[in-house]
Amino acid sequence: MSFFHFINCIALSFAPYFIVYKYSGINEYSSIWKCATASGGYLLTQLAKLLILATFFPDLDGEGFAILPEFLKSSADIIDVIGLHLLMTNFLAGKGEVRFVVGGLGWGFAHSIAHRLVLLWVGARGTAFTWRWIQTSLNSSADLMVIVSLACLTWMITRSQNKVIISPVLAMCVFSTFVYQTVQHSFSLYGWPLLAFRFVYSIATAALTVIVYSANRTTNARKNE
Amino acid sequence: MQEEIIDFFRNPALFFYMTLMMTVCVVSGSQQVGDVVETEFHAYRLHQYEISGNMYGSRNHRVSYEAVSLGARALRRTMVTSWREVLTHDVDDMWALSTGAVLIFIPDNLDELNDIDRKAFLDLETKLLNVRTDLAVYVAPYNDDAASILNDVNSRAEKAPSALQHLIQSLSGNTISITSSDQIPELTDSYKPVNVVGRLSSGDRASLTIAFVAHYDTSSAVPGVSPGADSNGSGVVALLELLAVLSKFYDSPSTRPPYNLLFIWTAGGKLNYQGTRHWIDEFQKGIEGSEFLDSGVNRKDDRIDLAICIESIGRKTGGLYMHAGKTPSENSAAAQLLRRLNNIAPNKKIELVTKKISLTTASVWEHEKFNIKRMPAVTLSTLPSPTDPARNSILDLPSTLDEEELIDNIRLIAEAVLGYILGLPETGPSSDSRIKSEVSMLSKDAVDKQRVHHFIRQFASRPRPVGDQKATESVTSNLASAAAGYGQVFKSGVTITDAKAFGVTQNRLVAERVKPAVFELVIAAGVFGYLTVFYYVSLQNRQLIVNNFLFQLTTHSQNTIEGTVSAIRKSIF
Repeated sequence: MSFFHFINCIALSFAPYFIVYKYSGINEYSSIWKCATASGGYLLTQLAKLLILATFFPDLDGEGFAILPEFLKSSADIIDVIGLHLLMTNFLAGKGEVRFVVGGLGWGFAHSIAHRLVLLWVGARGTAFTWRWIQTSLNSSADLMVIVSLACLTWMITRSQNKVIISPVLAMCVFSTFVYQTVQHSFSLYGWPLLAFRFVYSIATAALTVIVYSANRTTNARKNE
Repeated sequence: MQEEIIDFFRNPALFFYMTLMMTVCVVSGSQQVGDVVETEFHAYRLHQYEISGNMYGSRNHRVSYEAVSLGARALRRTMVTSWREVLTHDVDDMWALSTGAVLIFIPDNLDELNDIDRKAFLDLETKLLNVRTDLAVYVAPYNDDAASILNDVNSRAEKAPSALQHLIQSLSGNTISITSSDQIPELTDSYKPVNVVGRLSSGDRASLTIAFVAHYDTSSAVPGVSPGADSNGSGVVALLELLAVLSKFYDSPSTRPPYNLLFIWTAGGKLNYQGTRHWIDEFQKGIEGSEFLDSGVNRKDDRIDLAICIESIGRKTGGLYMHAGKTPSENSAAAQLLRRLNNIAPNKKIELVTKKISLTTASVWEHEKFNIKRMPAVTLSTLPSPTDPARNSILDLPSTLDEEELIDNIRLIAEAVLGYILGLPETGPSSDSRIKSEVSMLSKDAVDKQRVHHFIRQFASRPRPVGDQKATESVTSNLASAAAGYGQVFKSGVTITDAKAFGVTQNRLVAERVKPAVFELVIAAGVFGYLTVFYYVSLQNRQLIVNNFLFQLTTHSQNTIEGTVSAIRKSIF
C-alpha cells in the first residue's frame, strides 16, 4: 500500500463520520465532546462484552463456522444495546433525535477506529495492491448506518408502547455481524459481493428504522392530541 | 411523513450513490475474486564463483524490480520467462545489461522429462554455465503461481489494440513486482569447509599409504537445485562403503594388511579441488614424533603409494575408465591396479585414459592435484571424458543412479585394492589360463545393498554446494559420524586460496501485483466522489431532521389552532 493509498483508505473510513457530524445539523445541537463521551462509552461496553464472552464462551474460538455457537456468541452484542441505553439516558443531553445521532456517531466512530485503523496501519506495510483495504474502508459507511439505526431504535424501545414493531428491527441491527458471517460462510461471499450485501442490508435496516421512527412519531403526535 | 420518506428515496443523489456502488461491484468484482495478490516462492540462484580472479556466473542476488517479459529488455526490470523461451530466443545481449534480474521457470519435476526435453534442458544448462552477468539470475520450479505470473507478464507485453484500451491498461493494469525477501549474509572469511579423513592404520611404521579420495560438494549452473547424485554423490558413497568393507580386515592384528588406508572426503572439489590441494599441503608438511595417531596428521616420512580418486561411478556408461596424467610404468601401483581390475572383471570394459596435466589452468580431474605434487594418483570414473556435461548437471538426480552398477563398481575396486595390498597374485590363484574359477576375497554380501541405499539417501540426494554453509556443515558432520563407525576420523578446515565461493544459493522471492502510481489518483477521485455523495446524503438527512422538527411544530401549532378554533366555537355556540 502506498502512502497515497493509505490516505485514500483513511479518508474513506473516517471522513463519513465527520461529514455526518458537520453537515447533518448535529453540530448545531451538540458539542463534539459528547461524541467523545459516546466513544468512551463504546470502549467500556466492549470491555464488558469481552469479559462476558471470555466468561461464558471460553472455548468457542475454534476454527470453522457453526451457526449455533456463533449465534450464541453474537447474542453478547445485546450488551451494546444496554451500553447505548445507559449512555444516552445518563451521559448525553438534549432532544431525543440529537441524543441518538450523537450517541450513534461517537459509538460508530470508536467502532471504526477499533476495527479499521490498526488493520490499515498494519496493512500499509504490504506493497501489493489489493482491493481489500478499500472494501474495509467502505464497510465503515455501512456500519455507520447500522449503528445510528441501533442507537435510534434503542432510544425508542424504552420510550414507545409499540415495542412489537421496534424489536425486530432492533434485532436486525444487533445481529448484523452474525448475519454477515452467516451469509459469508453459507454462500461463500467474499470481496465485493459481500460488501454489496452489507450495504444492501445496512440500507434496508436504515430504511426500516426511518419507517419505524416516523410511525412512532405519528402515534406520539396522535397521543398528544 | 411517508411522503418525505418516499421523497428521500426519490432523491437523485441516492440513485447516483446506488449506481456508483453497483458499477464498482460489477466492474471490479469479476477479476478480483480469488485472485492472489501476493505469492512467495523459493528460487535458486545461478552459480557464482571465482577462480584465479575470473568471475563466473551471476554477480548479484538482490531483486526488487518490476516484472517484464523476455522481449522487453530494460534496465532495472525482472525478465520473467520459461526455460523454453530462453532456448528459443537470442538472449546474449540480455546478459550484458548492468542492473536487473532474470527469473526462469524450469519444470517442477525434472525426473519426468522426456528425452527431447532432457536434451533441450542440457542445452539450457550449457548456456547458463557460460553466462557471466551483472544481473541477478534465479531459477524457480514451475507451478500455478508461476503460470499466473507468466500470464500477467505476457499479456502486459502484448500491445493493446486501441489507444483507449492502451490508456486503460496503463492506468489500471496490474504490474508485478518481484522482490527477494531473505537477507542472507555473504560467506564470512571464517567459514571453512571441512575435509573429512578416515584412517585405517596397519600399525607398522614403514608401511605405505593408499588414499581414496572423493570430493563431496556439488555444483551446476544452479547449485541450489542439483543434488549431484553421481558427481560426486556416488564417490562419497563408494568411499564410505569401501571403508566399511575394508575396515573388517583391520579389525584384528592378524589380518591387518601392511598398508595404511586413508579415505578423504574433500571440500570444494568444484572450486579447483581446494580440499584436495589443502590436504596434500598438510600431508607433505607432516609432523615428526609419535603423536600423529591422534592428531589426524601423518608422519613426515609417510609416503603415498597411490591415491585413487573416485568420481561418478554410479551410472551405466559401458565401462570404467582410469584417468591418469600419463601411462603408468609397468610396476607402478596404478598399472598393477589396472591389471587387477581387468582380471577381476573380464566382462567389463576397463580402460586407461591419459590426459596431459596443465599447470596453468584449473585441474579437470582430482588426481591432477596429486600429480602436480609428484604423487602417484589416478581417477576412476564411468565418464570417458572430464568435459562430460553430466558432471555439472542439474539432471544428475538420484533417480539416474544405477544402484546395481554402483555396487558392482565398489566391489570391483575393493577386490582389486585388497588383492594389491595383500600381495595376492595378479592373475588369480593359478597362472594357468585353462583353469577358470571365481576367486574372491570378499563374501557375496560384503558390499551391503541396504547400506549403500541408505548412504545414497543420506549423502547423494541433497544439494551440497560449497557456498551453502548449512548444507556443507550438515553433510560433513554426517559423513564424520558415519565414517567413525568404521575407522579413525579427523576433520580439518580448508582455506580456500585463489578461488572464492559465494553464499547465496537460494532465496525467497515475493511476487506482488501492484498498480501503477497513477491508479491511486483514480482511486482518490473515486473516494472524493463517494464522499461528495455522502455529503449530499447528509444534507438530505439534515433536511429530514429539520423537517421533523417543522412537522412536529406544525402539528403542534395545528393542534393549538384547531383547539383554539374549537374552543371559540364552543364559546360561541
